[in-house]
Amino acid sequence: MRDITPLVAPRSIAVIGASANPTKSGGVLFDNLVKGNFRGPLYPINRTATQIMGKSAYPTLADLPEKVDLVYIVLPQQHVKEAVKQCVAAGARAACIITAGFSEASQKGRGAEERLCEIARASGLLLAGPNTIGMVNAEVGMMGSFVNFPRWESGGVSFFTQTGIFTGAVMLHVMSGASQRLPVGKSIDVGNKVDVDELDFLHFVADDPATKVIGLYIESIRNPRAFFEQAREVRKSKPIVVLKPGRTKDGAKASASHTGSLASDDDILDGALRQYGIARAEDEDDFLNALRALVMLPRPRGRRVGIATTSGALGVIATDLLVESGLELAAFEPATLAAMRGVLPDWLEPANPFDFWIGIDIKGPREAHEVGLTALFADPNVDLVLCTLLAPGNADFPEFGDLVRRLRRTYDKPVALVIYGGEAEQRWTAALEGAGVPIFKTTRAGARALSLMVEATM
Amino acid sequence: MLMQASGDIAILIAAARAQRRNVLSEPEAKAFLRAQDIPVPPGCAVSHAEEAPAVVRELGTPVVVKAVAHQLTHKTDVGAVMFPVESPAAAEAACRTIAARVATHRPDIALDGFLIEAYRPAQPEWIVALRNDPHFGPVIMFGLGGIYVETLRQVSFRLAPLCDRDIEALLGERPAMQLLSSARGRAPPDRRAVVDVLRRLSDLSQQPLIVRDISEIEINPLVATENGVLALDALIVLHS
Repeated sequence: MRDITPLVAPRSIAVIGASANPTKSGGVLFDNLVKGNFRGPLYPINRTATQIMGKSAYPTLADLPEKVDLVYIVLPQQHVKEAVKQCVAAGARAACIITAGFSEASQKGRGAEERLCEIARASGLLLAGPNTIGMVNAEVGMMGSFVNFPRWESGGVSFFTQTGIFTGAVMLHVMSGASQRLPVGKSIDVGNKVDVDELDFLHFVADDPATKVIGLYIESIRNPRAFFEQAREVRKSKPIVVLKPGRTKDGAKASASHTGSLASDDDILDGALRQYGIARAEDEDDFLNALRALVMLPRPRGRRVGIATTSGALGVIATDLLVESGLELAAFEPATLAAMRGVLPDWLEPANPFDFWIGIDIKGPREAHEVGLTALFADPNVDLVLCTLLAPGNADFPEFGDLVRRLRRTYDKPVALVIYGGEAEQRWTAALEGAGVPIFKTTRAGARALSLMVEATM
Repeated sequence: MLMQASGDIAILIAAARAQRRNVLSEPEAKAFLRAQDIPVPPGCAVSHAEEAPAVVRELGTPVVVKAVAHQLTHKTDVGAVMFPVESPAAAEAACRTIAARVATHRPDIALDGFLIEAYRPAQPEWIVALRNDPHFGPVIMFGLGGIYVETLRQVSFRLAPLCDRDIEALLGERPAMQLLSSARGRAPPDRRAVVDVLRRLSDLSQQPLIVRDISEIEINPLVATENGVLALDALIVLHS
């Protein structure tokens, strides 16, 4: 086990390839580091400039007044190897190679990448990349990415990704939202993953008090046994969600047996993820929704769901999705049913899903929602709540946000909210900002988030 | 009559290595399973067709007759399995038919003889396997077996060793596995016997000799009735 703190939470950073040119990756990355208010010394390395964005520049790493923790390398492909050697010679502890054009591009690139790895391994230099968008650690002000983010919502989610630009694009999308932004404290992209891997990251986040929830985008697991043993420990306090594409890729292995031809790496991995209680997301939407639910909500105590809806159709759709994902519908207590009857006409018997649209006609929107939702949240048989609510004018009432905030606080149960409507939907969503209530675009997204949450925590 | 195989895995491995082969024959694999308390149908291997009637008279009818040749791992594909065979004379004829089919479809293969077993079919057929995967290490696979195993892919994997909770989850992971508990009017299959087989393979996955030499132990089909389980066919592949 090795400590990747110098890479992920450095005390000092140098950038080889830093420039004042805002159209170049090296310019954007350095600008992001400066504007992110990195907590320690920041050194641009540039042979010609004396100053870049107000920071004194140095021609080489050897000219720096100290041995730096982390060096970003933002250079054309052919200069990367020399830069890595320079890192080793100058006693840097970690390097992040932004540059692309290695194993992801060609056989020749693969060879060049292997040599980088050999140099790093021989010296103990921690390596991220090549072919990475960079690394963000909001807690230390490290915005080490060549994507320019309009703002960054920091918080308990820690990402580890093995990809080129995906993380940056997804984070840009997430952070651009007007509400419900995923709070990400760390986003560590190792690109082609030549050195630092998912196991190193799990060791790091295990001891990181700021990490509450872990999201991994991985294409492979380098050392599955050690990874799953570590994951078993980490998930007890920090749930893990994995997005691993390639489910349909033909992974058949030549073999005399049926087992051999069935045992694709993805099939085995899929079983192992279930075995060790790691949730597997199907796509990027699933992944982000599950993480949002996990970071905003308390842990479920069971797998029984209570559904409240003002649309019979959405209630049935929710039931299908939840049951297909292995969750159960809660059986309501007599007291719950009695309370629900209070907002329904005599001829309508409440059930799960609890459809109370007609109660809005009878009692008005405020009372119907308040009585119905309170009964649902209060039921001891309900471990998780899914609300699919319509918000046209006659269902709207000004106290909606206060009601849901109060229920969330009082009962401390995981709840997923889906709101369909126009102007009121935006108002309801805005009224719940910061309340720890995740809101989803579709019933499917909400139901999947709850089921992945259960997989990751129970 | 063929010499009855030892159930001692060290002896079986040594014999296979001496002959430079990495697949154990079906009688060898079944002798091993029997030694591990995994039930197999009563039966006997013979070298020549004319020995078949005596075996059938002892076993009773019906029987199944199979080619024995370690290179022949997908016997059904070449018609080298015949069932139900209803008389001693029919068993001898079945041996000759199988020999002719193998000679036609796989002239490269030398037959070692024939395996004659009590015919004990049951539905559905399951597949249970231990694989020492090069990347993941020992893994256990369970699912719907038989000849459609690759078409339907109703199988799931777990990293070995398995705890009881892992086994329970594995036995419920795919829709087809509901057939383990519902039997539509018949007595339900002995689920505990299936669990025992998985537990046994899981234990084997932790034995140094198995890890060192064996690449796969595959039981397909395994049938489960209210009276327990039977491994109808088995394949053991050594690391090459």
